[in-house]
Amino acid sequence: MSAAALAASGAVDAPAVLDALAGGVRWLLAACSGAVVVYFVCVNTSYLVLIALAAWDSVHYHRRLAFTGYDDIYANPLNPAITVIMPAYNEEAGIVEAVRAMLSLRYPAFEIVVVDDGSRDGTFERLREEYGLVEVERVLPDDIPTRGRVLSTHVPAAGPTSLLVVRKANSGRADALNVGINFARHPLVCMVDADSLLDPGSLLSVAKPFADDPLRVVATGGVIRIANGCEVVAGRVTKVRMPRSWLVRIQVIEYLRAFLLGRTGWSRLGGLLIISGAFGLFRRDVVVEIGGLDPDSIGEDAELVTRLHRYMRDRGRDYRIVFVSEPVSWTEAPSSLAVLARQRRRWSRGLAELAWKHRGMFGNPRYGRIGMIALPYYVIFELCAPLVSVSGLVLVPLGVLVGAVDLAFAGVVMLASYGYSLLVAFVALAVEEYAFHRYTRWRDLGAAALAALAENVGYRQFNAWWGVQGIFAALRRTKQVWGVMTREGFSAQGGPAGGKKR
Amino acid sequence: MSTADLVRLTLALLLYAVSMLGAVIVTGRVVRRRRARHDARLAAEARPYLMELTGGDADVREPLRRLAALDRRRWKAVQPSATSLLGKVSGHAHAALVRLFEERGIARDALCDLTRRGAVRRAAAAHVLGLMRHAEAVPALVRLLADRNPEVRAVAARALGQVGAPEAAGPLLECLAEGGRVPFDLVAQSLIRIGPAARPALGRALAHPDPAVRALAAEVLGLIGSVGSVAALVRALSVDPSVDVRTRAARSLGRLGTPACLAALTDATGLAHPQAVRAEAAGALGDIGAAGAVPALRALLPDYHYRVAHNAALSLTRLGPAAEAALREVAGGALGVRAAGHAREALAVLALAEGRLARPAPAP
Repeated sequence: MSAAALAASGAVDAPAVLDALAGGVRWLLAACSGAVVVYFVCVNTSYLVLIALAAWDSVHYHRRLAFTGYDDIYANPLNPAITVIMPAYNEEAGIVEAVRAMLSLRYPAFEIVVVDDGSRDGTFERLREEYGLVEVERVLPDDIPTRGRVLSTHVPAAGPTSLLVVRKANSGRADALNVGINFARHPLVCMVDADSLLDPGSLLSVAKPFADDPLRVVATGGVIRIANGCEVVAGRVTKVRMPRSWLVRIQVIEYLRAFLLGRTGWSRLGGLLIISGAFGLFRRDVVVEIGGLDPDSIGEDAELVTRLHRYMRDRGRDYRIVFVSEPVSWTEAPSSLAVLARQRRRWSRGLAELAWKHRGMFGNPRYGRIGMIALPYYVIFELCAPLVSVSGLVLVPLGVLVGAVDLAFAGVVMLASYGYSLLVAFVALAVEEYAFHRYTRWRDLGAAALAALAENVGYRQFNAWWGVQGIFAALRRTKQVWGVMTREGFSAQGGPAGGKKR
Repeated sequence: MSTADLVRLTLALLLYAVSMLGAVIVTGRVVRRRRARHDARLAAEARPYLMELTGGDADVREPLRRLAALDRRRWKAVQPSATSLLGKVSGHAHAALVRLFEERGIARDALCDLTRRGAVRRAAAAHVLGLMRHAEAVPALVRLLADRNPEVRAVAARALGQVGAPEAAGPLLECLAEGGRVPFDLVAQSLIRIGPAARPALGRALAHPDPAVRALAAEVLGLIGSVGSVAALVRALSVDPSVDVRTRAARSLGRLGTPACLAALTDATGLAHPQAVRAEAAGALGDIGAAGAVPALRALLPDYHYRVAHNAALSLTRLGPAAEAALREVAGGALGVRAAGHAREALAVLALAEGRLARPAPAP
């Protein structure tokens, strides 16, 4: 019998029941608040563990740098050739510079396949003018089923420049990549964004694990760093600078902690689940075997890697997926709240859909570290983090309001929790300073420290809210929309150059 | 201690830790930069002697004496440049650098380091000995091919190739047996560096029970231009149970290009062979460049397998007027729509190579 019914029946005193009810609610609120704190301690501790693993990996890498034999890779006639696939949609602003930079990468044998995914701006015209493209017929291999109809294929009229431009009807990034994989002539395919700026030795670095362990390595991912504010000359980042916007500065810290060090740590553990679509290298035959990228997935890059894990483990094949922490691919981060919100909703939704699609791997010993550690971690500490964070933002003030939580105590706990996050960010900064030291100016170091502090005030909370929105969008199965991604482009001074990307 | 006190203490510890980390970052940067400046200055002082040593002069006694007499700190600053040069120069410059390294006792130390406990030390020693092409190190480097650490094994394999010792060919090939202790490409590169002297070992390896060893032998024999191995490669192409070995044998026969190769490759394009072998054979026929392959390649254009038809079409672009005529005929629809597509693609490649495709007019 419920308390309300008991009170109504007069069996017990009504105020006492209400007091008991209020006490129960207070206890629940206090318990939930405590659970939220414990949860975030666990999240930050997991980051510390991953950063420690990344630091160890970095020491390992630097001690071996002298005898890794990069020059030998360049000279080896059996070195696997690479097809760089660059899907482009309304990339008029930077496509020529991006292709020029790609063509001057340091690697013995590679080709570039630009897939113009039905751009409505002058993306193709800019390429045609720059490279003197002529239309040639190409028979489309049907290794992977595709959706968007191929309209035409073009190559430079002058000389054997290893560039192929494919024009197709718009069908999304994943399908554009599948078309590129079909056209790829080489055994390794590198997927990059059309606005990615690769360091000159990037291909050599991401291909090195394939040369070292050719039988087992099926994919490698490169690190993504933020290019906003950096000086860019001829498609190359020549001077690394902190961006001027605080919103982007905070993202620099976030990328450093989660993308560079976090993924390096996961790679050490053998549980790398995400290779960014902005820079990943895959064995073409294996990607074809698994049917290419899923055009229905909004997080197609992570979905591809998860499916690779699943496929290889289902067949009991020995394999490795490796993360390479240096050199890097540079990308432009959102500089406005609206664009950032769209990106974070998309990421959260992508992760939710991925977790649902591959729920059979969750906690399944058959999938080893992926099923038992990586996937549960991503679900509990990445996917659920926005939900817990927003719950905390609601429950803790509510607990204070009803007297379940002491205000002063809540304040100190909150500060301690932010202090722990700050400590994690500073550990990440310390690893960056000792292992990579990309930001050479003192003022950039100061700005990074302040951004680490500022991350806890507003940024994390907004991020959590957008994450919750992404999860609900996945639950409601609303139409997937990539959203307009406003790009400022790169310029020699790091200033805006205009241009938009879907 | 109450919970609130514990939390306050935690907060204080966290703030202390953050402050200490900040200090560590700043101090680390200051120390690193100071050390880099100091090393750069020391290296700059010694660099002119290094340039003089490797500049090609016959008399290198003075720079050699100066560099050999450098104290430990100065040598440490200049050693990375010297080691890097060792891998890039040849002839007199290389000999002079090797002499410098020997006078400084680096070869002796590296030989000792090959048996040290630390893997990095063993690998670094093997690396330097390889760059020095130190023949005395070959037995020790061969032993390192069985090292417990994969990086050490890889560096030893590379070093053996740099030394160019023919006696290392057999042990290098054995590295690939039973799952492969050293990466395939790395062993191949070392055998290519050893060159014709590795031919007897490679020939024997074509009969090795492990398919990876046979595949490597088939590949490298083509890359080192071993025309005397054509008969063995033809046999491998026809009867080897491994598709990988047969594919690599086809590629090598294309590189070697004797009349016997033409017949064997033409036969390998037949339907009795696996698709990968047929595709490779179709491509290899283009490498040979003999017009006699035109009928066989033309017949492959309607093939159901994309790679077979595509490679055949591209090979036809390299076989002269008879092949071009065949492509034009097929492009007209003589062998069906699918074959016509491949033929038109190949004709476009020819037109591009000959500059027959007009560049588009610039946009107004």
